[in-house]
Amino acid sequence: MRKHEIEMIAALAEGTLEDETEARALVASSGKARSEYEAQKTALNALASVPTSTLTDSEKAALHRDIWTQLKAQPVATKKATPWYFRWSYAAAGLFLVVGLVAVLNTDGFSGGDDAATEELAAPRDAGETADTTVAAAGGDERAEAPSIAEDGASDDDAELDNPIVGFFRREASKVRAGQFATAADTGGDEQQSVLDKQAECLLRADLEGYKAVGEVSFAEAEDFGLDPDTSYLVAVPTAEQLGEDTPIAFVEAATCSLAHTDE
Amino acid sequence: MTKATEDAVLLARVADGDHEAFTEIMRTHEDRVFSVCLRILGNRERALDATQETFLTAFRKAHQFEGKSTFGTWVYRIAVNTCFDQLRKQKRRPAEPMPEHLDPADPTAHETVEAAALRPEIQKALASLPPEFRTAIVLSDIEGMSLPDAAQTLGVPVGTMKSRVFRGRRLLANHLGNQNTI
Repeated sequence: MRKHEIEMIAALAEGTLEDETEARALVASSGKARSEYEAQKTALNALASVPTSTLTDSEKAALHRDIWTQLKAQPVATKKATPWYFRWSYAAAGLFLVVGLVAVLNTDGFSGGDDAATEELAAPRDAGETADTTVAAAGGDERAEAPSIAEDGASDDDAELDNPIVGFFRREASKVRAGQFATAADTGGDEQQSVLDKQAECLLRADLEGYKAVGEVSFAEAEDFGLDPDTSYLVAVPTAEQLGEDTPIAFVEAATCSLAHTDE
Repeated sequence: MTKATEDAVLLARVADGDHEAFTEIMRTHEDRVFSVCLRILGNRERALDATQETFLTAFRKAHQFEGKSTFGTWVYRIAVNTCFDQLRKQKRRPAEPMPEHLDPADPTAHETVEAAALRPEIQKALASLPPEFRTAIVLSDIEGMSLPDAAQTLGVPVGTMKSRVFRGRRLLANHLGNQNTI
């Protein structure tokens, strides 16, 4: 279904459409649209019964007491004003260092060297930021502190800057679409069938009916992001589609069979 | 003075040890932060821990808040990240029932806790959703946030938020349907 149709069905289920004619016609004429509409209505009706949840008076008192005690024990850092020339001097020094390093690395002795390393040195880093704060740290509110599970739909550059995990999944998805994805060797026989059966079951648990696994990936660079390097992901594609630029590629955490990211 | 600027001023007062400012911030945001944590984590004790952790993080990193979004949006993002961190630590175990023990000195506690309880089938269906879909549903359909506000809270484009809400509802309906056929 097209994006416009999906949005229309969602709005019809929410009751937010000014004119429902087109949406009603779509639902009446398409079994798929009707099924999607009924699913949206079912979920919304169930969620409408969810009561509001508040803290009890004793919970509030305990919360205030515990937080205030910890704040008093560890004073809060405050932002100290620094003259503009102090801040710009750090930036200038950093830029000078990067330019010098690039120049050195591009000399004859280093020609054909590691471009990735040069790019990593040149990449902007906020002062004091460590890679393992991707999940839990607050950070500046102007930066996208995206949740740890990668999102879909962001632009390439923004996604990679704001969440390296999304960039990783996007690169792997591109490889799959281009037919460059390396899969595990086919061991053949019962062992291979057992692996395929387990993968299929995992995809079903991740609600990816109609998908098939084409292989696994893991975070080789995981430790840089503070992630578990042993985490591996099944890579899945729709069974009924030819691989193309628009093919959605799903990544399912192999250990928990939960959908981690869909690149669309 | 905008709301964001007022929040920034209050935060600065908390950093200076102003308990009145601290109480005002807590009163404004504690219930909603707790509600978001409770619906994402599905467990009251863990939600209380996450709520405490959220506000501690917010106050300790107050110097990073520059008022470009409201404090509410900022603190809810911290809450979501804190809950995701908890979920990763517990390796997505199914939600546990709420604890039986309640503070006997608070006569309204039992009613408040009971009133917040979800029907078991909804609790189970919500807990089965992948975290990003569960959070989208919680912010949009349970907490009633607009899609732009929810998207800003999570730091994702509005289109991504729409997609997650749509797919989250679909998954939820599938789980509810499957539970009914058992």
